[in-house]
Amino acid sequence: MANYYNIDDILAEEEFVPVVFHKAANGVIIDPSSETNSVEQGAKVELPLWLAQDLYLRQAISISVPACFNQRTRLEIQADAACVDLKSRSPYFYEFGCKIAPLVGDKTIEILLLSAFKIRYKEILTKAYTAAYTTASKFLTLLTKEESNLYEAAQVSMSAFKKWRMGGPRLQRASVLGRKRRSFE
Amino acid sequence: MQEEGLEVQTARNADHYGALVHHLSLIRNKRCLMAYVYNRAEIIRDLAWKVGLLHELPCEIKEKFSDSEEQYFKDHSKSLKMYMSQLSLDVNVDMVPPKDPYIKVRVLEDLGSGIILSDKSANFASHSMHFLKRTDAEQYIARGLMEELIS
Repeated sequence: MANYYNIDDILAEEEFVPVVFHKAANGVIIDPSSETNSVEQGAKVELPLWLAQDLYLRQAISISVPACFNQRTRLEIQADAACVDLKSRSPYFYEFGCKIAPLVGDKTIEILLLSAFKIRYKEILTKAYTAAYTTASKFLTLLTKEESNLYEAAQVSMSAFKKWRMGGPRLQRASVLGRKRRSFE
Repeated sequence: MQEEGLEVQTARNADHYGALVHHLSLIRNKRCLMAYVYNRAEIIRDLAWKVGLLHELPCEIKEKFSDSEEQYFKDHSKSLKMYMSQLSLDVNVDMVPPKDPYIKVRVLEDLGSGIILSDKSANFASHSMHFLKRTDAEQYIARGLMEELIS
């Protein structure tokens, strides 16, 4: 139940997966280019993951490997995992892979995700502690949402440590108030 | 019963799956809306805890609340206050014991005169400096109305 309200989980399930319908479905417009508002048997469409998961459980479709885990990505990760732009493929790369793996029946996805994450994690930690702002911003565009959370956590703990060393003011304006909000005009 | 089972199977035609897709979309929309309201409620709880219970929120924040959210904020602050008064312990203050119970502050905004603090009453005109007890000053600093002076 912890994932029901979790916004990252909801967004991760929005990613599209290619499916093949086994049963026809009437009265729904899934394929925007079809003339009738129904899907026939054997049609190939892209569905969001939340829909695909439930239809798979009721045995109406079969799911194939999504585009972000194709051969090109795998080769790039094997070459150098730290420089692969995972965000352009999908900002929820790891969560998406974890959910997809039991549905597609592809055992290699887990190994792929694990190796990519291990190498990138090392890079994230070193960059968080040492990089200046200008060089780091190019690296940040490559990170998925989960990895950028880790990066921010590392930076926050680093600045908290520095503040503790130097003994800055303990009482501060509440951070919730800090952002400038637009008022209704 | 066997016949009924067979009939259900053949009744799973195209309309059934169409209705299923529609139903799943509804459930999905419900989940998105619930998550939105839940996360807003979490932010409101944070506000009540940090900014000070039942104090006035800045108007840019307040005008974005819906009516039930305002009520939620008030009820949550009330319950926290009641809890703290039953314990007779203010759990909202800084957890680290300070070296000095008094602190020097400068007032950033005009708060009016005759505000009663725990040990004296003070006149908080803008840009005036005061020497306050740490616990009193904390609520004003958290709301951004004062700042601490580190000499």
